[in-house]
Amino acid sequence: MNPKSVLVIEDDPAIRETLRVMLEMENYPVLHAANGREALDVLSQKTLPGIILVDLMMPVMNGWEFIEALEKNKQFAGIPVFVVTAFSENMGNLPQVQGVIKKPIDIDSLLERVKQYCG
Amino acid sequence: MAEVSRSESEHHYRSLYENLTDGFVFCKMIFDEQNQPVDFVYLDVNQAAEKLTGLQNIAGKRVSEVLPGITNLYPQFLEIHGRVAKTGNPETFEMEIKPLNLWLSSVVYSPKRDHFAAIFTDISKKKQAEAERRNTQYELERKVLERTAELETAQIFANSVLDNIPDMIFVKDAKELRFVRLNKAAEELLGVKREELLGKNDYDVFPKAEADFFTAKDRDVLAGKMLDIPEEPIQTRSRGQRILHTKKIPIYGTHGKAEYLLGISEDITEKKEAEKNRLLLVAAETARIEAEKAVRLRDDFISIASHELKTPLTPLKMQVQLIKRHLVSGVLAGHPKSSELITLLESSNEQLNDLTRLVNDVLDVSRIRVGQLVLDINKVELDGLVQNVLNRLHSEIVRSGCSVNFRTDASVEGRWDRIRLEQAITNLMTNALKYGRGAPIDVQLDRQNESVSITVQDYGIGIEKTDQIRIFEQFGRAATIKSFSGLGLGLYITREIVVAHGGTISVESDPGNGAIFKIVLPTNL
Repeated sequence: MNPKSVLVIEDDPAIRETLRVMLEMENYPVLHAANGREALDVLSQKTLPGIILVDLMMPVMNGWEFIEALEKNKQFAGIPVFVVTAFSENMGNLPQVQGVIKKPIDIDSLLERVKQYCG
Repeated sequence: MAEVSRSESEHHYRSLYENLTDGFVFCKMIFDEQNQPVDFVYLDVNQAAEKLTGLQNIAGKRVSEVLPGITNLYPQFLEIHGRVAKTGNPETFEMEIKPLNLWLSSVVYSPKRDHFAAIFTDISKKKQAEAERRNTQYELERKVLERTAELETAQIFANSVLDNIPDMIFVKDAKELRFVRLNKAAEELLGVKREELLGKNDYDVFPKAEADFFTAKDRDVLAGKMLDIPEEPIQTRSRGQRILHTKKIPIYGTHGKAEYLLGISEDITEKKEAEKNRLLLVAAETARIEAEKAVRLRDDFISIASHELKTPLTPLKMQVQLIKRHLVSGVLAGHPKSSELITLLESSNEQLNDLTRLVNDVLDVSRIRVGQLVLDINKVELDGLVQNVLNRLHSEIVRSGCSVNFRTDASVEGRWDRIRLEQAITNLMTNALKYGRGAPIDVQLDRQNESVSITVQDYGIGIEKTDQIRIFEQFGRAATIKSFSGLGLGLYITREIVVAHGGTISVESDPGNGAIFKIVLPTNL
């Protein structure tokens, strides 16, 4: 069975590219967006991903706004979300958020999470 | 001949007598049994007498007939005439006879026993003038008294005003510039009694240089200009040097010549002092605001700089890890230097960790400084958390040559910020490793009723007494920068984290024999 895709939402191109290369080297299809707005567009056009990795501080539409929009749409309700951030944010009130991945990212633990949800 | 001459002389006398402007009467006195005068009879009366008295045809009549009640009204009138008639000694008198509207000035003599003659004039006019003069005199005196009283009141009023004015008021005479008047404030300011100053000039009271200054100004004022001297130093007897704001004004006499000099001086010493202090305060406040601005700028800069430094660290660290991951999984299999390359990448990763920690420390300090150290409180098992920290520090522990003995009570739970506590304990551990000289390190958790303590003890270089407080401050390093690297922020951040949890941190150290750091945290369960 083919692994599910990963949606990376990150405004920093260096981080976004590194995540893309890393995940593709592990054979995961990667969808990517530079902000929440782009990500919603991507979600509406492509096959739903197995996991969403979302940065919090982004222009146009930030991570919190994206998560809020995501949770309103039943179609996307089942997709697990991981927040990737430099801050120790308490995301306790957002049911769709499964966890926080702290920057700088430890790729071993990140890949473990991805493997858990995307196979 | 004798007959003729006698008759002629009689005629002359008669004529004189008839034409005399003075009144003339010749009268016979009537006495009672006790020889007291009781009445008199007009024997002869000249025209002037009739005219002066307004009485007609009185010759041969008694005075009691002519002027009834006169003897009772003016007993003296009868007495004087009676006395002259009896004794023959002439008398003069003045008497007002009101019924006749007459002020009598009379010369009385006795040409014949029991008779008298009186020559009199009316001095009503003179008396009236006298009375008027007396009245005028009296009026004048009354006015003078009134005026004097008014002046006294005015004087008392002026004095009480002058004495109650808080400013010094003095008056000097224009000629010699001697004090002629001073108020109470002047006495108090100069510390000299009024009596002592009056009549003196400035040279008697003040040092010569001051007196020269005052006198020069006084002369200017008397020459015609009003002077305002905004600041005038003056040496006083009891209160030392004072600063006055003085106005000097010439006072002109009726001839338009300056006769006095009026001086009004406000003691502005305190005002000046207050103004000086206010300016100093303003300067200090300005400096403080500037300093705060500079600190804020620095904080802003540090905050921005650390964020910017951190941005490339995240992808860099991922990239190093990614490369290492693929090297390890055999991308370079068979390459002769593959193990060296892997070691190099591991080292890069460690150094990236160090760099990340440093940047995070700087970022944390800037957060603490703007009050943004917000805790994310959750249930935490402290023993597990410490074990995690020790595991993560494994390679550093190995590198330091220290061994770590970790002892703990069975379960140590509480509600804390996991990441921040890890950071705090990591800081204590890296310090112990850094300054521990390779000796073993004891880490111990103890549970009390509602708190836990975390103790990290090393046996390294220790900390001098004088440094033991400073090390918890920003950049408060005890060790020299030459021997030990670091920003000097770790313990400051650690203390801030502990304090934010409501806990305490303390240090005990015997220099040369290591240090014991102890964190006590409320469990908050």
